[in-house]
Amino acid sequence: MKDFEALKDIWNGQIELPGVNSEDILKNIKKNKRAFANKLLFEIAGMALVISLLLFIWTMNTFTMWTSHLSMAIFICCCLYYIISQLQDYREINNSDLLLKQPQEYIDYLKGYRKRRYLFNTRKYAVYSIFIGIAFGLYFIEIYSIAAIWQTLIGVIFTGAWFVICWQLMKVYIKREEEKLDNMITNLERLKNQFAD
Amino acid sequence: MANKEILFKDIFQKNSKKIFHLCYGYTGDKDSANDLMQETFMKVWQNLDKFRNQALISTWIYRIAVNTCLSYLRTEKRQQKDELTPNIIENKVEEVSEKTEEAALLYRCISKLEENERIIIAMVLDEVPYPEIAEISGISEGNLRVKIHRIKHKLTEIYNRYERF
Repeated sequence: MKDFEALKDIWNGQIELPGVNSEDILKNIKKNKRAFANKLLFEIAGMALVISLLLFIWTMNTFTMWTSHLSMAIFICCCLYYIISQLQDYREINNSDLLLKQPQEYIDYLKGYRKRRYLFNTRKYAVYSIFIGIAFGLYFIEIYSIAAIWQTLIGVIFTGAWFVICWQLMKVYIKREEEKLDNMITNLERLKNQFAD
Repeated sequence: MANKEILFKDIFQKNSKKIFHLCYGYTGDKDSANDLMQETFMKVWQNLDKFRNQALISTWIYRIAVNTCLSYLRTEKRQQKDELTPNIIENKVEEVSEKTEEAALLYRCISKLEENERIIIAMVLDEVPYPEIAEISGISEGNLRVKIHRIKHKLTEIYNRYERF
């Protein structure tokens, strides 16, 4: 039988040392910073390229219908929305003030953050996809008036099929994310109660 | 930059062991503890410029470590699967020395406590003053003393139960 003082002796006598040193951490910090900056840059550059391409199509083609103009505007807005959302998320995860809050407040922040990410990855993504779909639909109106019917049909079928696949995958993804979120919230609630004064 | 690196290395040298103990106590798993400790010190580095001696640096680092542990739910899941059975104790504890075995068993017992209890007891065992633990955990000192008394009793009981195997 050991008492708490004996456990304290075991604790003080432990020889297990951290498996990482400050040099490794500094190296990883630099590596992660570079990787993250590259990822962000790559995403923004990709979207900027898509926006430039859309602007090019918009200005070089003389669209005759208002639906095509609206379609281009929606496409560009979706791309801008994506970039802004990514930047907002980047700013939020780098908001260090939250890290120094007391556990209860930090748990509240975590809950809020997980919920916002869930909404972004599921519902907002669904709305985003719907807008892309509408933009394609509007674009095909003018295509239909200038191209052969079979060309329009092929375009519509491919776009439609792509949407059905995305929708089905999205349904599965939303269900999985919802389960994950519920589980996470339950855990965070439990943790919050533990820190209640 | 060079000054920051020197300061960081100094902070790491003075605090890494305690933070590692806290993370090990929280996860009950050495690899996850190393991951968590690394994540904590990465955040320390990112925020080093903001530290203005408004609190003890150890309190500041502990606060980051505790919040990092709390957001590390994946690890918790992993360790929950490992029930503390005699078989696991036999297989997992390295046969290096009696001291290592006892310390490993102690960590496994700590991991059977609730999350906040793991955090508090790791700091108690590392002799962090009670007012500092209260400040880090956001629990009033009076309540903390009651909690600590209960946790000490619980941990001793778990340890003695498993030591018999």
